[in-house]
Amino acid sequence: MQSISDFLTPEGMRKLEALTLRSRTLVEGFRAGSHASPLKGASIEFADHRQYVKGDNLRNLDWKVFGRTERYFIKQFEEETNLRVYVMIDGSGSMGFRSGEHLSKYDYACRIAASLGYIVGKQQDSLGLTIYDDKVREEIPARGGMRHFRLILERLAAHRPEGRTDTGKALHALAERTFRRGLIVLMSDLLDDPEAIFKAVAHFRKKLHDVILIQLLDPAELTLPFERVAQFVDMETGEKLEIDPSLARLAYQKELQEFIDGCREKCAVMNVDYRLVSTAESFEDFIHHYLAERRRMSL
Amino acid sequence: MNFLAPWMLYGLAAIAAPIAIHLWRRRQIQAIPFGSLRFLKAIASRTRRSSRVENLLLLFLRCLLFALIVAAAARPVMLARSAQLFGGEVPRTVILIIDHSASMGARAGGQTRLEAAKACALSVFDDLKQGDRVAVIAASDRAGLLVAEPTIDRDVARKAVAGIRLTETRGDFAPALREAGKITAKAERGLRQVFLFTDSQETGWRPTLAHPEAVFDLPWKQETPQLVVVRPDDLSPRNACIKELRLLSPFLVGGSTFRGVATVENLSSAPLHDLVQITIGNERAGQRPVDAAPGATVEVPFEFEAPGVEGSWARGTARLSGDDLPADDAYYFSIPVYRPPRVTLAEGTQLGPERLRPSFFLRKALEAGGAIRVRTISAAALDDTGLEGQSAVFLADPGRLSDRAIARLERFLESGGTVALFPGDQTRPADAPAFLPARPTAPRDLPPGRQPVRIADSAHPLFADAWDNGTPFPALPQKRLLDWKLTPQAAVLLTLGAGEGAEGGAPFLIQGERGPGRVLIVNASADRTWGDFPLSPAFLPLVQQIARYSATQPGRATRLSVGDPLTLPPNLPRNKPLALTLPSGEARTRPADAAADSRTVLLERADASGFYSASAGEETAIFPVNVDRAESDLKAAPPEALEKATAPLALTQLTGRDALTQWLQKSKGLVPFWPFLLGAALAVFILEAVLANLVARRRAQGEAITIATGRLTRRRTV
Repeated sequence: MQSISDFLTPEGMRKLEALTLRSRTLVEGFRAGSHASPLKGASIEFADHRQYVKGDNLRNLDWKVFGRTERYFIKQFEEETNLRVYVMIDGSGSMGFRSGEHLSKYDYACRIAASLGYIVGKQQDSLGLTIYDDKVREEIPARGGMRHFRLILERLAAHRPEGRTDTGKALHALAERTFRRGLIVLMSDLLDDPEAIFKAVAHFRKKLHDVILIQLLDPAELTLPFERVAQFVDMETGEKLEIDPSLARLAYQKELQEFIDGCREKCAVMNVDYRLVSTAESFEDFIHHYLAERRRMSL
Repeated sequence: MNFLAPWMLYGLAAIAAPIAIHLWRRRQIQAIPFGSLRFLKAIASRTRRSSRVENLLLLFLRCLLFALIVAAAARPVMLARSAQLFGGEVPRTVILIIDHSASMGARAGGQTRLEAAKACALSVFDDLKQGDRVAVIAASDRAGLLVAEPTIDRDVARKAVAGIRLTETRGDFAPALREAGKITAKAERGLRQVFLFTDSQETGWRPTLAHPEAVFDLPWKQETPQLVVVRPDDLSPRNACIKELRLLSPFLVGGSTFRGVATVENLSSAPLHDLVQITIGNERAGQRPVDAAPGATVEVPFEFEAPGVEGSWARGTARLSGDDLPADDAYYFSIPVYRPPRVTLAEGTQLGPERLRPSFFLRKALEAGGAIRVRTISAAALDDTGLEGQSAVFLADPGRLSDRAIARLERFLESGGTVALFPGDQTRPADAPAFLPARPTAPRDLPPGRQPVRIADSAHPLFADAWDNGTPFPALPQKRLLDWKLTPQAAVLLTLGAGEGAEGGAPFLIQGERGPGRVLIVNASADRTWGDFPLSPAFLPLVQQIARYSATQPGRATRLSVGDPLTLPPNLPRNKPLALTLPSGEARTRPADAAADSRTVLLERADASGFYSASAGEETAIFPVNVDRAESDLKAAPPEALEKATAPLALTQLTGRDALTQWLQKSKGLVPFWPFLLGAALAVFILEAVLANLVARRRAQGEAITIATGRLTRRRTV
């Protein structure tokens, strides 16, 4: 069985202790947690009054209002519940790309998932995992507990990124199956049909999920650092293309930048947190910076 | 366009280098797995096309640069109408080779071919420009460097050409062509031209055609000069020659018959009707008509009454009336004048009555007629008796000779003397001297009666005027003879008996040569112990013929040609100064040299035909020297043979002055083209550098953009 130490160092875990992951939207949870819940029930935060009906809990009678109005009203509270975090990782062949000493995009995503899972577990929230390519390959429902977390780590380690990507198709299926609102952390290189991807994201948003979209790219995919004419081979389709990278670099980066800007714009429209990450960046630094920034922006 | 150094064009193979590098680099294309080709495909069509065009253009420019440099190194020259527009003509080094061998004396078109060749050579000077240099070589059987260093002083060169005289030497163009190759190798940069003015006689080309690589050696191959062979004409001069003269009479006796055979060759395409005139000394001896078909060789026998001549040698000339090549119309010969032989008769024993001694009959035979001077000694006295002035030594059963006597006889033979041996009972096989042409084995008795004698060579001087078909050699009453084992040099002149030996009899008269001397063995005793040969009618004439034959000088029939060296004849004494007289009358002297022998050279080279004479003391030797008859055949070498021999040189074959003039006109205005090629190479180099720089800069622009990561998208407010 995989352990968290396969993904996180003790020093890294220690740094994660101070971090929290919260959803900015109302989520549904079945346990008492720290997250705002749209369900009104026993809670320490007063939300509203309603007339007493036979059978209500008399402990929730607001006696102050009776004193003023000599009418019986029940207090309604905002129920605080646990966060369901759904980590969805693109496990297609392109996610296996790596250059130099960097982690592959998939391994990087696993480490982010492990970090988030650690935080979520510490928060006694629930974590679920989905790995997909052109269909869902792994699906673990959101639960809490260390045993469950280890199970997730094990599934992450066992998967080998391969096959073709069809993000839209996989995510739409997931969106249909995910009933309880929660926080969707979607990690992919997005080197797929952008329309299909964002339709799927929109599907999640329609279901009122909070979505974080993390696009992972290798530094080589960002800078095309190759000098000599080379034959590039698509890791998913096997297609080959001979090109002089030194001549194509500028145009390639412009295309990529245009695509990234498009993603960013679409995410902004859908109120989706979008983050572009290079696998050259330390994932621990990314987690820290991202959660700190997310918290700042939510204040 | 011509190339002055065409071998440099092999460097064009170097163009393969950039192509090979290009192809090799293409093979080194790495396969790189990549996440997605989506964005690469979007821009591939735009960049790939331009990349390919750039690469091909750079490859083309690099190959072109190589080609231009190699072509420039090959030094191309081309005709240009306005040579000055391109900076003037290429300076030339011109080498004129004029053939002045004997065949160039042939008259054609009213002048000798040498005169025509010189006129053609001088016409080249009219074509020379400022800066052109000229060298002049006279070609015969050797190369005469008249102007060895190419000079811009044309007067010097003109004078050298004009001063060339006809020689009587044979032609061989190889030495002159080799010298021309050396001159071209040392010449300054520019065009090199070698003109050979010759009748292009096939015999003159023979050594070159046999080994062209030895003539057109490294300097020719490296500098590749233009070779122009100019014949003065393509006419067929009329020519016949006396190819050889064979003397049948061994010596000249005033008032007696003198005989010989002249071989006449008609080298013309027309029949020959002429006279062969024989002159002895200053007197005309006679003439004989000669008729020969075209290309035929005929023998003309002659027989005249010999005029009286003083001295020990007579000079003779056989001459044709004359044709287009006079040099070979005369044939010079010499013949010894008869003088009484002087014979030393050495007998083995001098005991007993004189008539019983072996020398008795010999002395009687020799002294008969009084023309032969005889002295008789014992064989033992040979140790101390000088043999100078003697023409023959007759050994009559000498028995075993001492080593000193043998050495004296060998020296006598080396001086041209004759030793005649008559064996007898004292002749032992073990005692036979080494100079004998045969070894005695054992005596043999013959059947009783007269033994027939057969002459093996009736033309031999021993039998001339004595025995022939009309007067056969008589049978001899011999009872005994010796069997002999012949050496390879032995010649059997008479055989005795029938049914034995290779010639049908036992050898009776054997001749051998020892240097210039002769050794004769008469296989009979000089007395009557072996038979009555001394009493036979053949004895006296044979003995006297031997004596007379010994008086002739052997080896005088050697054929000397112009160009040959003259060596010391054996009959001249070494202990006296020697006087040499040339055909021109020039006289040279040489001091006495006791160590001289027949290999000693009197004259390195006989430059003219005619009579050379050498005299020392009372002895004289005559050297008739004739023009080499190889010069008589005026047939020109086939043009295709010359093309093959001179390949891969640029050979031009012209005939006549007009053809030469036209060729000189066409070759005018040769302009060096390599400066333009170098300029073009420089331009290509700059263009390639600029293009390569542009490509590099374009490639460097790909690093200008940095895609920002890590920025969290600002969300719109909820």
